[in-house]
Amino acid sequence: MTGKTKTIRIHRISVALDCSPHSRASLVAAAEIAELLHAELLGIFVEDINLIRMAELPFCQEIHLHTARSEPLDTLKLERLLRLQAKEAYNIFRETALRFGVPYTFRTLRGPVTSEVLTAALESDLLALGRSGRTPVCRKGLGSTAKKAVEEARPHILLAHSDVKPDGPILVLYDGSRGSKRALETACSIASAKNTLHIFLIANTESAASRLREETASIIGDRKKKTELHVLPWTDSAMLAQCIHMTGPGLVVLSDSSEAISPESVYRLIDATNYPVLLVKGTT
Amino acid sequence: MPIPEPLEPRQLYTTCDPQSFSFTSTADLDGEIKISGQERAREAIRFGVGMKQSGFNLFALGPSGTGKQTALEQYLQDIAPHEPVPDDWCYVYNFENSRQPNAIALPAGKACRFSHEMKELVEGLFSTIPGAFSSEEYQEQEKVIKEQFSEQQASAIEELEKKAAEHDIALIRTPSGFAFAPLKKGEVLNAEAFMRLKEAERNAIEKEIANLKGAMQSIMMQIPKLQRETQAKLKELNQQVASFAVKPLFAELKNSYQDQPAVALYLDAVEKDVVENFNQFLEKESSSPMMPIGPGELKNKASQQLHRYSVNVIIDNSKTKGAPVIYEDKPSTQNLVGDIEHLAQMGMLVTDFTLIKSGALHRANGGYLILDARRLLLEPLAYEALKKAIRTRQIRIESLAQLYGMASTVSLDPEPVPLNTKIILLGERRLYYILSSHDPDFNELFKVAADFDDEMDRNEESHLSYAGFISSIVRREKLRHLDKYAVARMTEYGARLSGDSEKLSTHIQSITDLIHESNFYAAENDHELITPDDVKQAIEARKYRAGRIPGKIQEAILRNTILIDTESEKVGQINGLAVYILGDQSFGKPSRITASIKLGKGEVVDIEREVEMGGPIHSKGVMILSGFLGGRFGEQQPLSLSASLVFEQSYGGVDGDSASSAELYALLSAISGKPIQQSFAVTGSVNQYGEVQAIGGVNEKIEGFFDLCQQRGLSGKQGVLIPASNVRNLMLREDIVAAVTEGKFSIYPVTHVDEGIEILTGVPAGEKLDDGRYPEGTINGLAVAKLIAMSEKQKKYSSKTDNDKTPEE
Repeated sequence: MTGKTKTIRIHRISVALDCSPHSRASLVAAAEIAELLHAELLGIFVEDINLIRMAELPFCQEIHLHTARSEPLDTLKLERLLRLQAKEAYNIFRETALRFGVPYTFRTLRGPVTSEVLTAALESDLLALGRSGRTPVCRKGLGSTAKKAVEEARPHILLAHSDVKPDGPILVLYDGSRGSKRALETACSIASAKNTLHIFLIANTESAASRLREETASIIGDRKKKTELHVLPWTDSAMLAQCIHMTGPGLVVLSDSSEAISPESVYRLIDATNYPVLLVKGTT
Repeated sequence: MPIPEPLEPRQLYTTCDPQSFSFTSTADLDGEIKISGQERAREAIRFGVGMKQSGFNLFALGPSGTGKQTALEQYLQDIAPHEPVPDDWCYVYNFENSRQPNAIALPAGKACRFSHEMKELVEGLFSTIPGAFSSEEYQEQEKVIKEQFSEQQASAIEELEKKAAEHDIALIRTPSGFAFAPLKKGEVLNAEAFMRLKEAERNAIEKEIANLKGAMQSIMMQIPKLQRETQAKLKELNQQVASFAVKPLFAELKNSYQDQPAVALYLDAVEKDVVENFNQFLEKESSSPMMPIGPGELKNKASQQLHRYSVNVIIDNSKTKGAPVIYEDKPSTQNLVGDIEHLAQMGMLVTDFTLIKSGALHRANGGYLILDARRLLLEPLAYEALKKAIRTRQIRIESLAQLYGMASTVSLDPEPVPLNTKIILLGERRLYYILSSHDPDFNELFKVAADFDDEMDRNEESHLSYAGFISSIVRREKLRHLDKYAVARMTEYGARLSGDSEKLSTHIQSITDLIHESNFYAAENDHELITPDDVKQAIEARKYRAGRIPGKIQEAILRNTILIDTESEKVGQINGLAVYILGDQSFGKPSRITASIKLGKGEVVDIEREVEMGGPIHSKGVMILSGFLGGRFGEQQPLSLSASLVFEQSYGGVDGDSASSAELYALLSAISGKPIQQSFAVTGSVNQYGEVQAIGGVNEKIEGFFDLCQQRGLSGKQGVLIPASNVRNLMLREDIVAAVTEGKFSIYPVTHVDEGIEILTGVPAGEKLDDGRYPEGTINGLAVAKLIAMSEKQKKYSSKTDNDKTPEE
């Protein structure tokens, strides 16, 4: 490990909105970070092209969620509904941006949701989106867009969760790699006085753990943060997820370029952890 | 008939001998209030208070100021402290019917403690319940239940989604639900591509989507059921957690009140309600346990909810010693039976059980309630409310506004409180007899009458008792003590007040007032003790203060505006005596009465009655005179006279028969032609046999005439004729006694008009002779002669008028 570690630079944060509770949580989390780091917000609402195509089909019928009744869904009706949804998303976005006093831009796009979101996010340093979308089947794990973003998106990723409060702990995985240093640095920069930093040191020997302790102390420096260090000898995603769950609900900050944990394990960890996640992207 | 001798000075004023007192001043007496001369009333009180059966309530009747309240309070002060202290009462929320708050009785002093403990309990719940629900264990269980629901829902849909995927069909979330669409290479087939498919393929897709749609609808139909099940599980969990958390708090409280079944039942209901509504202790709005939840705190729903656990203590007997004795000065309905107050909130009137206020009946429950009957009757519906409470033996709080439909707000119907109170009414006799005659309930509900006399026998024992009473007043009011001479003077004043030298007034208020006034003059005169001179000064000052009208009348007489002769002799004219009562003062005034006669048929015309200025008793007195004249002079020949009688210069009404003897003297003088000496004034009623009967106000009447004579100069010839039976009523002023002693004024006790007429005319009345005639030269003889002459004239006049008639007639 050489050279001075820098925190991630965030000037613009993209937020994918579909009016689901998770996406609303991601908007709030993004706005908090934007306020802290003086970044601007870019709101993205995508009119799903698959929906429009489906509405063009002659036999298309919509089953209503609260009545289980079905009725034909035509293009006009769908477009009207999508416009309403976009308007609602804009209103929520605008209101949140104004509340946190951050500059904002809002875009309504049309196309396949995942690709449109990822493309739009290319202009940003951080993409914030809900862990799952509006389908009930996706609630347990990551939604399709979130999964794709974790694996393929270039900007850093913030996956929010509606049940986790912002003043909870911040959980950071640290193995001494450049990526994990950036993750720790970023966690320090976004942690407020209320947040406790739980730093999971990935070390299978006491000497390695000792070294990592020294490094974390050096990174935190004189910033007065409440910190708790936990030494974990495992790199398996299931074991890590269990440890994170035992520590409590909070924002998990980790890097996809860790040395000790493979990217696949990182993705699995994100999928298995039902907490908000800030994934710091970057090369080793 | 021998004429009576004038009264001796000693007969005019019965003194109280200070030397008969063994004390030198009232300071030597113990000052204990002993009501003498009220033995009958005292026995009635003892009986009425002692009788515990229903309806044996007490009515203490007698003139105001006779010490009814003092006697009662004194008696009750003796017995009430030895009786058990009654229970405390409180109102609590009724969880089954909020409009009917429950009344709970607790041993004396425990209600406030209970109220305080309930407040503490609520405060404790604010920490206990959030603590239980914020525990990791609870949250984990809650999460499991919710997760179970999500999983059930998700797995059903996921399965369907997989099944759809097998046929290249996607389940898509639409803005308001779900839809199925065919896929090709992961993307939904557009309409153009779909139409390019073979018909069989299109039909197969449509069929499959229709199947999936049906399956999806079945799943969605199950969701509400799953939600209900989840809610039920969550509710059960919540109630288990809440119940477990609050149980120790309630167990502790229940243990303290295990001997109070009503409280235990109430606590069970509270516990159940707290468990069912545990959320109210989690809400941020009501999260401050320090927020008062007293009356008037009806600001929001949360505080209203917590309000239910308050305890409204309406009766706190923690500091009561024995049975309570309550005197309610303003016995309005609300003050008696209590009230339900309302608060104006958002333009509406709202109330709850904490706004229930107790009444005097609540406060006196288990003891005694003293009420002034007149005030009670003046308060709308108060008497009826009191009777209802006594009859039903319970205190039911009813709002007057509700009763009369003046307010249509939702109000309360609090549980009645059992009543066990002895009600004591104080009132005048008239009020008692009116109620007794006209109210059928009254005799049932007030079975004991304590009749307070306004006078008592005068003897040495009662003199001492009076002295003791004076001493108690002095001590209670912190006044100067009276020396024994002043006490004697005060006792004499008591006799004068009663209008009887052999009685003493029991009008405590008047005696108390005189002591106060004497104390004032003693202070002015720089006396350490009140002396008889101070008492005399107080009496004279009182007379002077009230003397404007008697003074004006006196002045009018002296100026001859009102004609009263006190020197000459006149035929058919006499000085009668009347008493005027103005407020609490009375004074005597002489009035000229004249009689004139003419030919007639034996009737006596009362001019006062003719002009409707005479009352019925006065008219009766005048008619008695006709009876007397007929009886005495009408046996031998018809009475051929018509006499008229008048009170000269009378501009108001006249009533009473005390002037009937004077009127008879005037008539006898007019008939006999013998003049009456105007230096005399006369009072006394008379019967058909000429016997003079007792009248009232004899002292004031004598004083009224004496004052006039004194102003004109006492000649020694002046005097007053009074009924002999009124001699015992004489308690005359010192100056009159002195004038009599010096022979300047005389008071004659008369038993028969024949005595009186001789005194007044100097001519004997004349006793009937055996042949039925009266001796010549006597009043009766002259009267008979005159009547015979008038009869003759009448005959002549009749025959003349007959002769004047035509023969045909």
